[in-house]
Amino acid sequence: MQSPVNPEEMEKIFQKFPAMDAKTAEKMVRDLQDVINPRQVSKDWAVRVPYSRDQTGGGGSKVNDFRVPDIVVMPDSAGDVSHTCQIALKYGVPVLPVSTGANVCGMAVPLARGIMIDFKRMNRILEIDEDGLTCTVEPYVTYARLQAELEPKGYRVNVPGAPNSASVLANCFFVGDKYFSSKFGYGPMEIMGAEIVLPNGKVIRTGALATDPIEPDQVLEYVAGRHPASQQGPGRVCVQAFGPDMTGLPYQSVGRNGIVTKICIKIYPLTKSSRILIYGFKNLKNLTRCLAEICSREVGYGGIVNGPCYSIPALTNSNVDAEKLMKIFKNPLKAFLKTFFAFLKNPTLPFRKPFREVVSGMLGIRGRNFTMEVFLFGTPRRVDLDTKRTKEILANKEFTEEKPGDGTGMAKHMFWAYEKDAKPEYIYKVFQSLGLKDFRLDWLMRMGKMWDYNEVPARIMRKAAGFLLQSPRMPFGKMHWVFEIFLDVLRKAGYPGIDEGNWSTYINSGSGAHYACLEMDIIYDPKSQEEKNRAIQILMNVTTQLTQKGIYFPHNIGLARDLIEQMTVPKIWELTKEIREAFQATVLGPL
Amino acid sequence: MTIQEKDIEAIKNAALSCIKCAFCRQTLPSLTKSNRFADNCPSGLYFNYEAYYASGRNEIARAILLNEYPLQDSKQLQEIIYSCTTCGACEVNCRYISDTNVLPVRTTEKIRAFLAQKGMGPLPNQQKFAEYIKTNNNPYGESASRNSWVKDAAIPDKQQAKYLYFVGCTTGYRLKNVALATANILKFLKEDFIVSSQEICCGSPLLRTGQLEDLGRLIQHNIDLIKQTRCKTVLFSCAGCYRTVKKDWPEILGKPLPFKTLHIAEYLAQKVKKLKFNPISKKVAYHDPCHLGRHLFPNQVYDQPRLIIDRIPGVERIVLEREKDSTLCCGAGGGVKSGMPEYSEYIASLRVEEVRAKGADTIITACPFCIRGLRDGAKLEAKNSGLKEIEVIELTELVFQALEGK
Repeated sequence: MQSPVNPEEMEKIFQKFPAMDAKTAEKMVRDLQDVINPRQVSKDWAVRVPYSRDQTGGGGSKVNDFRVPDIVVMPDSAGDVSHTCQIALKYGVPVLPVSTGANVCGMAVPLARGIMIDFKRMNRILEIDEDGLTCTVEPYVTYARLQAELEPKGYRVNVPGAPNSASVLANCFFVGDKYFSSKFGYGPMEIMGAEIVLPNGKVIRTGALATDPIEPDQVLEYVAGRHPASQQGPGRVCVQAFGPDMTGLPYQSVGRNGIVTKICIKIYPLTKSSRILIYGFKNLKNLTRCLAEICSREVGYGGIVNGPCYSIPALTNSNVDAEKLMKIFKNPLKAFLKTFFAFLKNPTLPFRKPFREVVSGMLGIRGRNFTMEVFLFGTPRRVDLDTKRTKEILANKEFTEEKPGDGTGMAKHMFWAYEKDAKPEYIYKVFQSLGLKDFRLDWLMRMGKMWDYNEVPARIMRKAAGFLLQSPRMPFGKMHWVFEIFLDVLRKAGYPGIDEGNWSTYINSGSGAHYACLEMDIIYDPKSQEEKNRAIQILMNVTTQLTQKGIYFPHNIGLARDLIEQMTVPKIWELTKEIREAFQATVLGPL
Repeated sequence: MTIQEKDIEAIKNAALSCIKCAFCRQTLPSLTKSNRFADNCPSGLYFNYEAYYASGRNEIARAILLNEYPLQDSKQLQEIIYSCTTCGACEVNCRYISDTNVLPVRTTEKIRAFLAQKGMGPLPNQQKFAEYIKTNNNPYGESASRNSWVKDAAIPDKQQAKYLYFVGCTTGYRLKNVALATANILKFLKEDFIVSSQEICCGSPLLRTGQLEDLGRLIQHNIDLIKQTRCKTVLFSCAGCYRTVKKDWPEILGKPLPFKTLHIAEYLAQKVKKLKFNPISKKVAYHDPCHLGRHLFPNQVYDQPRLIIDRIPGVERIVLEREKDSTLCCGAGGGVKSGMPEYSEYIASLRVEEVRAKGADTIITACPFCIRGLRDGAKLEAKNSGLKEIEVIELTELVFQALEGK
């Protein structure tokens, strides 16, 4: 089916939003500066231009179409955000928030121009409540920063599928999938409460923050531990909300239903033991059936599907080395000889267990088109039990007609920082022997912990830097079906090597067997309009087909999400529009 | 020397290849120890807007090169481009994610050169560097003899030796104690070395601020001078000169240097077993100069200074949260100290704050710019905190103190 969305149509919508005239901009800046520090409001083009692009390239449909905001504001508090919303309402211009800016699909690119709210100054971890197992943070707090504060205290957050440079607040409100999702749920299920500035400037607090003693315009100093204001008494309320729960109002609205300035989320004790299992499959159907079963039985905390076998070790290497690895892995004899040679070259290593594990892991998944990773956490006993249960599923012919290759030995040394006997240097030795040149030991040493927060999306993009993705949410049972539609569209678009598994994607668990997140990535040359058009068209076709069959897409390329939702789920879309109108949102979808 | 067409193309490619992963704004996630000490982009820390981070500058570079806006229409453009201390913290993180062509420091330096060609830069105080170098061969406009300290050091008057000690302008004119300490250590080790009064600026201040006009002359003069001395190795105590000679000169000349280069920290690490130190009672933190660390990738000088410090009895080395690749810049690099002194001091004071928070009473570093920056930062930090000022000492000074037993 032909998609209703095409670059020309998007262009027409963009034309409705010309750049603001100088006089109005000047007047608005003065109005904003009445409350906000003048240094933190700017209409200078050099300050505005950096917001015109995100991870997925140009904000518009053209590769060189960069959408620039008219004014940039850096608030210090919810009070500043509220004032900005009121001014925007007065002038009828849109407002768009951006936290860390590690965004995709033009979500934080001001497609309709207007005011950009940059949250870089709101970067405080306001409270770590060890009694209530929650923490409260501002929008610019990243997963890396929060995790660094939590770990010494013996806690962790639910690790996101996004890079750890992503904002905790934005990731949770944007239905971010998590590594522990199959047990604890996805992004919104982490949220205990929020402080929301509605489009009309009114500040509301929900759930655990409903009784927050801090005023919206109060600028806070950094507080480690519990906030002094809540040190007396039992701590944060643990219920989701008083009365009608408004916490869900801003979900996935990218600031259009309300701008969140504070979030209270759950934290968990650090796990005592962990393990990553890696298995290689030749057949995608076998893999997805096994993974669905693993998740429905709540074995471990989720699974990931990767592309060809070389994609996992390639994560730690440069592009040149990734290509070498691909050749080595495609030729099993070469792989065997090379690794055997590694034994001879390192006489002190062969008798050591880690070396054997690395080599057997690499050989175990060689030549497989698809790899699956399963994350196990918990007590050592629980991890051992889950390993056993996973192996049982993989040996069951009801789920897989092939015997999966075992690459687990390698995973231990490659990715996992919490494995006590992990020896990343052994991977280094093996890779060195395979003739990889750009490989660096410190990458590996660090990758252990980096993998913890997943750098996959960023690393997938490093080659061309032009990158578009679609990320449907679906039940695990429908994974294979969704894959097939995606691959079918790719095949029809003339992409080479689809049937040979020459593509890469990953599935992350959402919430047990109920919900999985599949990321479909298409890489293009950032300077080629033709390539970008083709990538957009493919993703549009996939999205339209799947949306009509009930698969949900939280984000999309540029404004395409609105257009597709308007067509495929008109009643829900109309309702969302009415809710936005009730709060006087200045821009209603589609734009 | 001017900015070439291929440089412009490279900047455009770099800008379009930036994947906005946001890693350039903070320490590598796996090395992040706390929220308080996680930032490592000086200009981002001070000015906050996206434009002041590497990812933002990439977009501005794109807008400039694609002529998206008239340059003169921006009041903040100069401040944005010239507030980068070129410390390379962003570049280190960028390499982990995008080992391609996105090298933010390089982009900043080239854009500075581009703006300078268009008459839009550098900052007024930075323009003086170029003027002084033209007239006096040093960025300070000093007309006195460069190595007046040589008399005090009683260096033997020779034309040839194994090592040439390239003193550098900042050490020669502003931090003579460092030059003296270096010379005294070399004498102590009975090393065959000379110092040349004919040495002129290495070109670092011009390169960092995009003023490339006089660069070729400086490089050629110094290379001819070194060739005349027939020294096989040139020793540096200035990290800035070392980085410029080791990395920039061969790139600009398009061929390898006809001599070896060695920083005094590397040299001392080789000789450290021969040195007998007297005890010094200090709790020190080592600050990694950007030019001796990240800029020298993949041959960063990280372990050598620590090895030397750890050999001195009584000296307890405190490990900071931001060390080696994650170090927070002292705020004095990239022409920022002269161009924007207030901001430079603020960044240095943040670094001193971290040192104090970790319990050290002295900062050791191996770069004259860091010394000057951190000393000013220590004053500001002491004023703000009301506590005793943290001492800032150059590595060679510490070594010489330990050798002398003072």
